[in-house]
Amino acid sequence: MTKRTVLSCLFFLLLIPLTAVLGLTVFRDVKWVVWSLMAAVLSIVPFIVSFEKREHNLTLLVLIAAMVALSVGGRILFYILPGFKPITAMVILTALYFGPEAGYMTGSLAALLSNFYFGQGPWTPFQMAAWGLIGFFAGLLHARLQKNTPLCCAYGAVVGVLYSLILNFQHTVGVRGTFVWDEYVAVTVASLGFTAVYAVSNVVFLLLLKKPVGRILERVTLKYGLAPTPEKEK
Amino acid sequence: MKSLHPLLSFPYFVAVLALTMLIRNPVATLGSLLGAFCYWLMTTNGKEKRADLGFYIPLAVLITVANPVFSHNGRTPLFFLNDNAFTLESLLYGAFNAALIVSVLLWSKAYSKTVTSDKFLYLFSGILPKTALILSVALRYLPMLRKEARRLKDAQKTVGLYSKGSVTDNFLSSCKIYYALIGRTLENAVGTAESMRARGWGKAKRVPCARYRFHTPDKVLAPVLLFLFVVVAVGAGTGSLTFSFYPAPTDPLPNGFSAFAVAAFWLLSFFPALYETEVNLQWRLLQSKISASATPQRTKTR
Amino acid sequence: MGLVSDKVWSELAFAPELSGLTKDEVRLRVGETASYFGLRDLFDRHVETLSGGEKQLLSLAAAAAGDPVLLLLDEPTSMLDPIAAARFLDTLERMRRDLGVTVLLAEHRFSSLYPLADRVLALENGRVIADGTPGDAAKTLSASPLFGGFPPEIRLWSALGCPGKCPASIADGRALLTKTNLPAPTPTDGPTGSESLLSAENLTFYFEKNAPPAVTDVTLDVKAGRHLCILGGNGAGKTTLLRLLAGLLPPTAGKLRLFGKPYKAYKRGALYKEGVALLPQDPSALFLKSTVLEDLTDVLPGKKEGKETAARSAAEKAGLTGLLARHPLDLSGGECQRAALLKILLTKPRVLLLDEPTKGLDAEGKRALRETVRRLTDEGKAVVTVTHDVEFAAAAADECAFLFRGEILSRSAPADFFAKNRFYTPAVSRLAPGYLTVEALAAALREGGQTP
Repeated sequence: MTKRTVLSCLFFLLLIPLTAVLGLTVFRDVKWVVWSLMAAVLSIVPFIVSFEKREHNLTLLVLIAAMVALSVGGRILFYILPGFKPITAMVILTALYFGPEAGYMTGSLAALLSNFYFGQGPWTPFQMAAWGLIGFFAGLLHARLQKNTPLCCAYGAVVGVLYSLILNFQHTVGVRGTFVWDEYVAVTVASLGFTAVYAVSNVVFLLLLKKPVGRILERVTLKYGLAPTPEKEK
Repeated sequence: MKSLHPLLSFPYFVAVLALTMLIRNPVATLGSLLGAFCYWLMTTNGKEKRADLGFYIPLAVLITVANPVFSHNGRTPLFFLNDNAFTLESLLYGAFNAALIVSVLLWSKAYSKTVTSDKFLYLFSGILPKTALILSVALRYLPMLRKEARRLKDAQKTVGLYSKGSVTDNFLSSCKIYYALIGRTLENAVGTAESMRARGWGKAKRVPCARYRFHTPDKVLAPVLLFLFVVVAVGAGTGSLTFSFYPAPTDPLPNGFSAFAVAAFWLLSFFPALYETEVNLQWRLLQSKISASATPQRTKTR
Repeated sequence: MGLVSDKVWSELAFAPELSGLTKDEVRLRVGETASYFGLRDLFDRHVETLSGGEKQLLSLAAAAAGDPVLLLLDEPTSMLDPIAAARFLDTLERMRRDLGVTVLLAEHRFSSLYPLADRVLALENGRVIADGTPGDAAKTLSASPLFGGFPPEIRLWSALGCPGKCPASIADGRALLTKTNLPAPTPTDGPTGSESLLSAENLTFYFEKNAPPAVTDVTLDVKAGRHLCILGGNGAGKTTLLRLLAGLLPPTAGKLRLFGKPYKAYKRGALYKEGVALLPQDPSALFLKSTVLEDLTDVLPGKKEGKETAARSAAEKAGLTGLLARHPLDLSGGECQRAALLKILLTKPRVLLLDEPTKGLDAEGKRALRETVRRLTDEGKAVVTVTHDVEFAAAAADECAFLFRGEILSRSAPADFFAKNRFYTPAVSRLAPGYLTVEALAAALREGGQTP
């Protein structure tokens, strides 16, 4: 684990409880809403800012854009099967070959782009944060996930469940204004079907796409030297 | 609203959305709902209206009724279900929640329509150039992908794909098309990057094209809206807008400042509807002037 | 296509934004460029909604917005129909004259460009084989296969022994002919009746309920052993018609029959087995795998080894063995088309639908295509080509039809068809009425003893 990743994890883990405290003291009434929004925003802003600051090859940027468009486009191609979205698989694959920052950007921007087409709402920051982090952590684990396909699929399934949990959380807090455990459980149980389909779709797409897309991405990373390298801090 | 400078419209919507979600006062929330609703009435066509209502109304009913089922606080029970009280206060809270959620959805819709991708990019390309670049290239690719996918589908149907009609066959056929699409797009991406480099990317700092100008009305509106926002925020912060449904509904205007805060929130919420009305009126006025000057003056000859 | 942005205005703004101008200067440059290139109405549109011609014009404008000294263009009009190509070249010429930009253009479809050039460079296998003024280059290249792409008035001039100055337009060419005695062209009889393979009756198609129809009341009979060319400009509905004939779109009204059986009676995919085949405008759309061989074996039934042998022998017969191991996206336009044709022929179609097959082909490629179509019709297959290439239709068709706004306005044998038209005719007909190809004209001149 590099210094940067340690720092970013610490930042992440410290600030969120801090805002929780803020929520508890100042925004008593709507503490959950505020806290969740702040958590989402904090899970987005530092990553994007750090991405901007670092040196990036133009080709990489355009490739990320292509992966973002393909992730959203894939959703439209497979729309007949509800819940079958290749976006998570694509985000993970990008992260495996281009590194955690690229993975983060692919995930969060795919969420943003998708919402430009399907409608924005208070769920946007949550989707951006969720998919971004999915990409980020996949990137951190890239060495192990690239070689080990079952592990990769397991990651996809777990991440699919976590995504559902996070979105359900947003849903509960958004609807109620506060976090009611019973209702959260009820919503989670009700959406169990969807969650299962989603986890399965992640695994299916990872299985189907990993090799061919992996081949293409590998060729491009080798050709243009875009593999995640240990820190070139400016 | 579409002609407003994005520096005005973007923060406006974010602010109204945030306030709507955070303020839990039925009188205030009603204002937000009505304001969003009026704007929705003005900016959607018949087909969309029917589709939207078909979604919003059942949703609202569901939320209203679901609340008393889960939450049994409140002083006035209406009837009992399995030893659990179905209370009036709970039902009212459900209705309130429904109103709140529908307003959030309506505001989100209004935001999506007004702050389109180019306005969004315009705002952020200055501070987040790389992110904005990725988004703008992705936005370029997306319709292209849909067209390409259709072309590939057509061509492949004539050589045997999608020929079995089963769900699995359709899915696998779509997957094959998806792979091909990915391969082509990534190759294309490299070419696009070359083209951009050829046009000068990376050499000097980028100066975004000033597409939006601040017109005089914007300059007046901005401080007014800001003022309204501050009033509401202060009201919320100082407890002028606190309200509670349980065990029984409290006074929605707890202190002297409350009325101001609520009024400010109503005004803020009705801003888009008022703006649209004003624009429409101005346009009608202009039109009548144009047609009046175009019709030749008939002099009375005798 | 080097378009990088999503909206027209941001595409135009790309280069100026990066050239160190101030915000207002950028805005001015964008507005100026848009006006000069006639893109004002398209300003807010998404680039994908533009036609091919508009996209090329936008590329040119975007390049011009960066204030270049030298413009390098690589086959800019190859994918455009004649009208769009003409508009593009006019704009390019205007740019050259007004802004003093130097233009270096590589094209293999240069018939309309030739008169505009100041200097011509011809390349073959990487070597320069001609370099000089248009007239000089024409003289040097008269024996080369490139000559097939030269404008007809120059080919005529060459056939007559290059008298006087090199003609720069059809009018100059006609002037040459007034001094010669031109025999009347001998009309050729078209092939007589044969079996009807595909028939369309009152075919109508609407994309949307309240929009004008894309195809109106089209009645067609596609006969075995005959080549039907459907001509029309961009937006006439050619591709839509072809998609209907290929069973990819359900008609809003009208009947479609293949071998006498209505399309609806065919099960999914059955239309394409020994039935109809479509060669799309972008032939690479037929390829999904990473080698041509894999794509070919995909279409064949049976076991793996059997499939491979069958594919290889088919490729050998077509002389395309060299392409088998290559990646489809690496193939040139002509190679890809040939490979695509091979692939669809493996499904043993009896009716072939070709969508703009001459796009991107040079004179030699078009000649090869004509031969291929001739071979297919000789085998008893029916070929329907949809194209805007008047020269190709004049030389290759057994029957021509004109499509305008989704309606067939005229249909007859080529000689008749082109005689009726005043604008949609091959250039050679405007030189010498009644003649459909330069070869026919040159042959008539030779027979009449007019050539040296």
